[in-house]
Order: sequence, then structure tokens, then C-alpha cells
Amino acid sequence: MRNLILKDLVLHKKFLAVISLLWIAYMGFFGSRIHSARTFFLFSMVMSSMIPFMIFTREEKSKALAVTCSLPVSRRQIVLARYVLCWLLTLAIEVLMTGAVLLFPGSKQESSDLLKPNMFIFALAMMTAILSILMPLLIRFGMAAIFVVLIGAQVLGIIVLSFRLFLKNIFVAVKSVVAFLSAGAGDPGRLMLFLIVICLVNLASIKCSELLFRRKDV
Amino acid sequence: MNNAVEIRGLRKEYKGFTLRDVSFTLPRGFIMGLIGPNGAGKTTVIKLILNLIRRNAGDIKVFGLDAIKREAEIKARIGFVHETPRFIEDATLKDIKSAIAPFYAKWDEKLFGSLIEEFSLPLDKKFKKLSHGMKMKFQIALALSHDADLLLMDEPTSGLDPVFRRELLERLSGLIQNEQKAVLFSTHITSDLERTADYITLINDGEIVFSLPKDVIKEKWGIVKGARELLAEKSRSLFKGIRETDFGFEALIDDIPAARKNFDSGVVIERASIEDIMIFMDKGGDRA
Repeated sequence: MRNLILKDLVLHKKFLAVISLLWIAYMGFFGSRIHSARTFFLFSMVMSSMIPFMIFTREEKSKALAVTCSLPVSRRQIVLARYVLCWLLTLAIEVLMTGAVLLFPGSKQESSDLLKPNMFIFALAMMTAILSILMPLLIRFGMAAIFVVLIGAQVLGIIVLSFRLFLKNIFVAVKSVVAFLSAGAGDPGRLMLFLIVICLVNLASIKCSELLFRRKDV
Repeated sequence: MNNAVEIRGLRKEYKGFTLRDVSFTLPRGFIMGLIGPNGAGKTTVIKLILNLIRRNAGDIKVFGLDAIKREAEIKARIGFVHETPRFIEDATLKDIKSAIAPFYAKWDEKLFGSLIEEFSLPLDKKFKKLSHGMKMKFQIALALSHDADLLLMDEPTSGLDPVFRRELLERLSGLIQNEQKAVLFSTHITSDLERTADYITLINDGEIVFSLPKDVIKEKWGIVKGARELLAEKSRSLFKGIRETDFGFEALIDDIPAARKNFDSGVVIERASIEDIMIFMDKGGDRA
């Protein structure tokens, strides 16, 4: 698995360096202009998680997946390596983006807000949601699936907002879950429960991706 | 285990094409050429061995090991060359090598360096800047640099100049001299097979027509030429393919001694080249 991760880092090093710098600078500026730490994490998590997806898309565009699958690794190892790379890159870029926001001249963000445990939980939850939903689709259907999901999410958002009165109960339920997690950020029991849920969701996503990738002809 | 590759009852279904009941064996110490017209299923067979596509039925064993269950172990011993070389387009050859080499415990940096020099490949150049032939050479250099026990090559000679093609074929012949390694390569260029292959497997429309030692083919397969009046129903059963004109007929046979017994001196029987066989088996001849 280490070799697979290194392979992607070596082959995409220039792209990674350029896109990461650009996005860190952009989010550093954008994040420093807003007050809400939650909004910052919402946007920055979406942006930073897209970077590893771009790497996989570049591989798809070059049709180089056949070479990866011809190397002495199993399909399971390829999937696992992709998840690990996603987590490592997303977390690393997220940390750099957060640092950039705090260091940006005239930043409206406070370190005490950004580095709160509930923000950490929120960021992890965002990352899990993005990766666990998009990775199986990306692995099976490529970047086209990501676009379909992103457009679908926007359409869904419009529909949900249009029918918000009918969906009130769902909103209330989601809010109470978020409140429960936020309130329990300092509670080790709830934190543990949350981390277990995160792990289970990721494991389910990995399993799903494995099954899909095993069926994929490259 | 003396066989490098054993394939039994392999089946792969696509929309509009089915690879049916493919079976053949490649022993260690030999080179097998996989031939057939475009779309016959050669690339599909190679992809199935590499587990790049899922099979619908059948078994593939490489060095006696199941190709799916022991995938990583097997692939560590395989050097592959794909029909169309595909790497990250804007990566340099040096970076691609650095990314690929750690996967192979037997990677020989010195050998890779000498191959790069011999093939005149510019390591600092981006992959996308290379011609097809250069890309193919780079793939070949990677495949040859980790002491692979089995080389799987899909049209490795396509896009190569005749001099390099000859050198590559000689190199492949040299590789199998220790009788532990094997080479399976697909090609359209029948002269490559005449020069190098020990076994020839002909595949047509998703089915194996034959998988035989080249010497057997040379010895037994032939072309019968004669006047149309000499054609009798019982003799037609000997033909693998036939082409009839107003002046006479030409037919492919797989048993020259039997044909000699069957026909009198009114026909000419010549040994069939691999190209003759391919043409008769594809569409050059109406089936007998």
C-alpha cells in the first residue's frame, strides 16, 4: 500500500504542489474574510477533499489505471491506498488551509473558534460524508459520477429548500444530532461514540468500493 | 510446476462479442505467439491473465497459482507490455520509473539504466512528448528490468522500427534460454512469429482455432491447389478453409500426409505459412 501511495505522490507531485498552493492561498483569503468557523470548514473540507479526487481523475484521463492494476498489488490494496491517500492529503491540506486563514492579514477568524473540539468533529464528519459517498462512485464510474452527484446534490438542495415546511421533522432530527455531537464535544464517551461511527461509515464505504472495484473492467 | 500459464474454459462476454471456451498451456522455457485478426480476442485474453477484466467462466493459473487468489504474488513475476502504453501523461520517464520500481523486489537498476541507454530514451522527457514507438520501448524497458519469469506482451512490436523489432525478438529468445521463463505475446506480424515463437495460438472471433507447437504447424499444415474438378465432397471434409475461383481451388489443410493420400498427383500441396493460415481462417477463404 505504501508503494501505491508513493506512486501517486511521485507521479502527481507537480500538480499537487501547484493546486495545493493555489487552493490554500484562496481558502486562506476567503476563510479570513468570514466570521463563521463552521462555514470555513464546510467550504475548505469540500475543496481539500477534491484534490485527491483530481489525482484519480488524472489517472482516469491518462487511462493509466490498467498499469496500476497490472502491478503486483491486489484490487483491495488499490482501494485501501486510495482511501488512505485521500485522508492524508485532505487532512494535510486542511491543516495548511486553517493555518493560512489564521495567518492571513486582517483575518476575522479566531484561533479559539477554529481549533475548538466541536469544529474538529465537524470537520471529520464532513470529510467522512464526502469521502464515503463519493469514493465508491468515483472508483466505479469515474469522475462523471462525481459531477452527477454534485449536480444532484444541488438539485436536491433546491428541492429540500422548496419543501422545507414538509421536511421540518427531518431538519429537527438533523439539528438535534448536530447539537448532541456539539454539546458532547468535551465528553470522552460521546467523542468515542462519534469516532466509532466515523470509522464504521468509512469501513462500510471501503467495503463498498472494494466490491465495486473488483467488478470493474479496466 | 512446469507450466507458466494454464488456461481452461475461459469465457468473457461483452455486448456483441464473446470469448468462448479458451484453453491453452504455455510451458516454461518457451515463447508463445497469440495471433488473430483485429477484434479476435487477443487483448481480452491478456487482460484476463492480468486480471484487468473479470471473467465469466474458466480458470487461469500462472506458475500453478490461481490468477485471482494469488494476484499480487503472480504479478510480481510478470513483466507486462500493454497494446497502448498508458502512464500519467505529464510525468517524466524518470518519475514513472521511480513510481514503478519499488513494486518489484527484483528490480535491477543497472539493467534498467543500460536498457534506457540502448533504447535511446530521454529520462527527463515527459511521457506525452514521446512517439508511440518510444513509449513502447519504455514499457519494454520497464518489463525487462525486474527479472520477470513471464512476459505478457500485447502487440509489443507495433510501432517499432524493423531493426529494433528484430533486436527485441532476439532478446526474447535469449531470455527463455534458462528454461525457467516464458513469453506470451500477441501480434499481427506473422514474420515475428516465424522468427521467434515456439508455440502459436490462433484465435478467431473469440474462439481458439488451434494452440500448437510451431514445428507441428510447419510440418502438418499446408495449402492444396488444384483444378475444381478434383474437388469431391469427401475431400472437402479435410479442408479448414477453401477459396474457389473459375480456374481452380486453394484449400487449407491441417494434415499434409492425409491430404497426400486423399488426392492424386493432380494437386499441388505446399507448406502453409502462418500468414496463409490466418488469412484462410479469417475471411480469405469460404469455410469448407
